[in-house]
Amino acid sequence: MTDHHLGTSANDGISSVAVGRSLTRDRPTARRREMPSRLKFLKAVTPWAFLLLPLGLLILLTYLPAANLVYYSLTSWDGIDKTKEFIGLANYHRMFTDPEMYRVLLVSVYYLVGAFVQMAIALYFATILSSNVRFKNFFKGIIFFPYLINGVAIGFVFLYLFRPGGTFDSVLGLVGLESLSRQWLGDPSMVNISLAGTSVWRYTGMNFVLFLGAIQSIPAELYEAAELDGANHWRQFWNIILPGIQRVVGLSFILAISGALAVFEIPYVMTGGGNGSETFVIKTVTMAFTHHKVGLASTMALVLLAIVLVVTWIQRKVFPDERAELT
Amino acid sequence: MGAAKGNSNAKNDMTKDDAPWAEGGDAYWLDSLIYDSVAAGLTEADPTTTNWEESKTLLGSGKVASLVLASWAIAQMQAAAVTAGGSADDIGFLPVPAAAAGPTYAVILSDRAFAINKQSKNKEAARAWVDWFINSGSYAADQGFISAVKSAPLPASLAGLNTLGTKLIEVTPPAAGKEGLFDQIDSQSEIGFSAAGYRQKLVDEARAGTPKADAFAELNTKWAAARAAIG
Repeated sequence: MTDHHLGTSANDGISSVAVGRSLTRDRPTARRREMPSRLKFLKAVTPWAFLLLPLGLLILLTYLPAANLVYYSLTSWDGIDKTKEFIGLANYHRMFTDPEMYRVLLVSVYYLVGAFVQMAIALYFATILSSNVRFKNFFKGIIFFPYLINGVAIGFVFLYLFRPGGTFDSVLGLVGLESLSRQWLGDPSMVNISLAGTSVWRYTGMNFVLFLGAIQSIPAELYEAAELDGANHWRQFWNIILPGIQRVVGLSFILAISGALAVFEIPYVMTGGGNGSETFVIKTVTMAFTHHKVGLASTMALVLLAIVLVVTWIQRKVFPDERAELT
Repeated sequence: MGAAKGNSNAKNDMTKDDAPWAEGGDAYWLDSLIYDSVAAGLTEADPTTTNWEESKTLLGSGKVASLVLASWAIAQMQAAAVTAGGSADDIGFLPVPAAAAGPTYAVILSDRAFAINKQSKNKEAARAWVDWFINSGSYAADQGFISAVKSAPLPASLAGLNTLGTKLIEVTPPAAGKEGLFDQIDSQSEIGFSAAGYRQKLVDEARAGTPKADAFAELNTKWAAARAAIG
């Protein structure tokens, strides 16, 4: 009985739909008129109209100043003068022949090593906290929290931490390691390591969140299949997680390198660039605003940009932008 | 600058000197004071982590004997001394010790300048206020500044200068047409005479054990090269 009823109504439904469809198909196409050309024009222009403001701001605030940098780097402008004296490539010559410039670039190596340590720590925690661990949200919060704090505040807090007899020395004393105590910022051989450590503390959270998101996008069935096949955690990490997040790892590499080259905030706030902690960007800022050599500073900024672009290009060649096949 | 021998022309002379850090010069004397004090271990163990507020307390409680500052800081130091359990009288002000004996000098610099906007509709009122502020107001005395009025006495905090017979000298402005010359040479040489980095570098070098002669020779070379470049 029910079937019959259903069948009837289904039949009715189908026939009415069939009728409806044939009705529209048989209708003459005269209803569809040509879109008026004004409408066509608006349709083509609308996306550009929306883009006008952001593109305008981008050009005004990013590309135009960058073009100005190229212009200034060919002059000996002091930042205030009404006239800019053209000196050709003299600034570039100074940039590439002055050993002082290379010395400050070498300081970035400390931060580069720190960045790799940072990525390793972030990857470790991201892997652990992507599985079912008690209080995992609490740990995630703790690891990410330092990234949210203002860099100047972090600088001051760590200044207190690193002073002789400060927090760090006290903690070392508590665990009986006073012999390791030394002048963390006062010793020129230690200052860059201490500052790089501060940088690692600050930015691990950012890497952690990136890796966590990438790991969580890997389908769970892969882990189950691997466990059925008898893979232990390390094998799962090496063969499933790493290939699955390789794009994010590649991105983190570029960020690590360009971040290490452009370090400014932490050393500037903490030591002002003194005691051997002067980085490339600190030197650029000092050159521009203390010594009034905006031309040379523009050159330095452009060289930094070029290095970052080259590194990005190399990274694109070594880690091409293709989706890894996991299945 | 200029306080060592009472040379009010010290900065201007530097623009004509190819070796201002040679022995006997004002810059030599000034920077030697820093250099020798740090090299002899008379300053703090770790200058990178000291901070202003704590320094005041250290001076107020007597753990630190002296700070090289100008007279604007006297009021703050006296307040810090009181907070540290001492009294405001613990804080004194002496001129830079150029020699063990002999005349002492102190350089005075202007603090803030007054101006009356020429577009103002109330010029007379503004002028009256400025006159009152300088002549009858107690700003200078309260802050421990030297009043702009010539006949006014020195503030109490600077009374020590009177006892020592310190001569107050004012920096002579540069000759016409050479107004920015010192700053120009300074910028060109990348020494940054008035910036923090310059003295910070001296302190770092003193702590590292670099011989003073080498550090000063480098400064002389930079200065001379800049002088030659500016012309």
